[in-house]
Amino acid sequence: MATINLNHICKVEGHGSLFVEIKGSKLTRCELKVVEGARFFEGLVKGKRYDDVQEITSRICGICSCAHTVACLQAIENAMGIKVFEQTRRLRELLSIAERIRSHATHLYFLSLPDYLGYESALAMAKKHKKEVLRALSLMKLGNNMVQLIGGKEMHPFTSVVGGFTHVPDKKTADYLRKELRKALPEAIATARLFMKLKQPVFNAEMDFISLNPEKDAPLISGDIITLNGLKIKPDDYTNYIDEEVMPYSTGKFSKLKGKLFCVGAMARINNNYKNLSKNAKKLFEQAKLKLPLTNPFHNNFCQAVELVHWIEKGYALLNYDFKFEGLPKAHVKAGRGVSAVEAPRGILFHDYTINDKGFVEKCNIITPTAQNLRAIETNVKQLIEQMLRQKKSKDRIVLEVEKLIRAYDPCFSCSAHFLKVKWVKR
Amino acid sequence: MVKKTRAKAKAKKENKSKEHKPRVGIRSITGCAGCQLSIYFIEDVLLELLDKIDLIAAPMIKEKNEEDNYDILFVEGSVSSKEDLDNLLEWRKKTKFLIALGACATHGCMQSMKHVMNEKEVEDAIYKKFPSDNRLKSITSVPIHKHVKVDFYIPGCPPSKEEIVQVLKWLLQGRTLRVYDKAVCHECSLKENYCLLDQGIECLGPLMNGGCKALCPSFNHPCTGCRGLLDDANLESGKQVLKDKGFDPDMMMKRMTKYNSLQFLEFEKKPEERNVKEGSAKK
Repeated sequence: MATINLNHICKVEGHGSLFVEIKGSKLTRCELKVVEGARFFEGLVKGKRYDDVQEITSRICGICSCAHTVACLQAIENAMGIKVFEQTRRLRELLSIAERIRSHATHLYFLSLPDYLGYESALAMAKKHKKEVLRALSLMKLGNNMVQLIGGKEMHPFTSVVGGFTHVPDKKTADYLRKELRKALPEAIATARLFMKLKQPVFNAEMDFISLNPEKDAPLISGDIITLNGLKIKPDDYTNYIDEEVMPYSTGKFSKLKGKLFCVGAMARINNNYKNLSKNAKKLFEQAKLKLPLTNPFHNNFCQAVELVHWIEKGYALLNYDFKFEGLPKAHVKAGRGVSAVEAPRGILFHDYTINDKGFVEKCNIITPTAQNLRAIETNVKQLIEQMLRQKKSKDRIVLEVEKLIRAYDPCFSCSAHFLKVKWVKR
Repeated sequence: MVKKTRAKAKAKKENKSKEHKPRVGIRSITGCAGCQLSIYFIEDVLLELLDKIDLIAAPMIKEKNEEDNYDILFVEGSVSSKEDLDNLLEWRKKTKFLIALGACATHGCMQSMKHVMNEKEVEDAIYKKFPSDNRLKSITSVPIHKHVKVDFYIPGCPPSKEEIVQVLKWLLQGRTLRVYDKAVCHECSLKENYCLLDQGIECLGPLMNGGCKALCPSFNHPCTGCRGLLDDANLESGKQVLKDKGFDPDMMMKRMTKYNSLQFLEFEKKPEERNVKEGSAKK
């Protein structure tokens, strides 16, 4: 069995491309490529002191820097046997929630929606659909504001350190954020209604879904790993279950769960944990008249919109707390290995560190959600093209739907997926 | 690095004709994409701002992107692969005014730490597991001014939204662009923060370029210099100050310079040598 090793996947958000070859009406080749300059994060943190690591690994990704921050800190704390206070867990959870709000809003409105409404970008959409664009901006602003007030900066938050926080929002800030969240709820509901109405192609993908089994107090940043098919594993065991392959045509690595196809992300979370959704979120989901478990990856967009509603309500409740700054956190160095799995906006993110007795990193392994999804995306793209070829759809139509499918997964190379170079070879 | 760029906002002046909006592009090479996100996160004035310019290329959020004739081009990321370099050289040819956006483009950021580490060891952490995998080969990251002429720098990891708006405004008005060139300590003491160094916490504020409103120290977090060393930073006396306060300056700098390892290396060399080298790089 191969151990998982997605060293390079941190670069996935850069440029991805798809190569499709069709002979007659048969698909003969379909390769999803990730080709990016390497940054060697796992190598860079080797030999770094435990309190310097977060600042480095946070830079793996701009839009999910909070998830990387929290995963990194928790893994190091696990390695050194540090227990954190409830307040710290709560603030980290809030950071993750805030990031989710801005990430989902950005993805839904700026990357996905233009395809459905027939525009080249959200900016081109602004003339006719100003309401939607303004709504997107207001949701993004809410998320950004929240990350900034808790984490210090909108991106790459720095107040969260090993053992706790260097700064804690005061009562006034918490109340302000609650007020903002309450104001944003109708916007989130409107978003869910909007995405509910979008017409999705009929498409079924057979695969397993992986998510965290949420613990009550901090569902985004702790818990065991569960699959829809009933597998339950501890985060530390991930290497025994997720296999990884290197494709000859891509620098991104592809993963499988014990040889089977799987995906992570909003759809997986809702499939596995529907019962935990908030009341409003459940109501919206019911209105969509979708059958659980969802198998059409296009619905990932709607799932994200439902999550928006859910997490805004959750964040509102979590902020009702008397936050207090209790001095700078201190940590005692201890050798060990620690793993942390958190739910980043796009799915499960693993950080795994081995720390030596002086507090320096000896080994590091990071697996990003997009790395886990690559295989599923490629397979789904193949199936979709075959299905559309059978239906004798035009080339332009197929390209559009394929792009929509890839974007629905919200891969961290969304940026590049919007720049998707579909090479079409017809023989 | 050219800090005191007295940029003349050429881009704007050449296109004074009334209907013509400046053609602006946002392009990225290897990095985390956070810097261009910072542009889209200018929520309050984004639409207004985009009304004043013609955003012709932004692959992250646009489907249709033009490849030619940029008046102003933002480039994020550091040069880390052959493709990066090819793209960058191509963009430079097609751009009147090129702005390096964010720490990767201005200083190299995290990925450039390889310069001060054992490169082979860093790469082995990845290659050893995939011995046959030569596709991962990259060139060691450098900031973009090592390869092309840069007209203006917006530092920071990520850069502040206000600063981006400010620079765009100045460009649109045809005004001279200004650079903040005082130490982080300057703004930190204006904010009346209790000095971290005096509390026994390692902080690189005295040597680092400010303009960030001393954000990190204000939240009890040491400055690690995401905006790079001051142009006229005096490493020797800086180290002495730190030593006097009871720190081990060499260890501290080795540990804490993450964003600007390359610049730091250059500063460690003799000043004369540095000037010669920097001067030639600027051409």
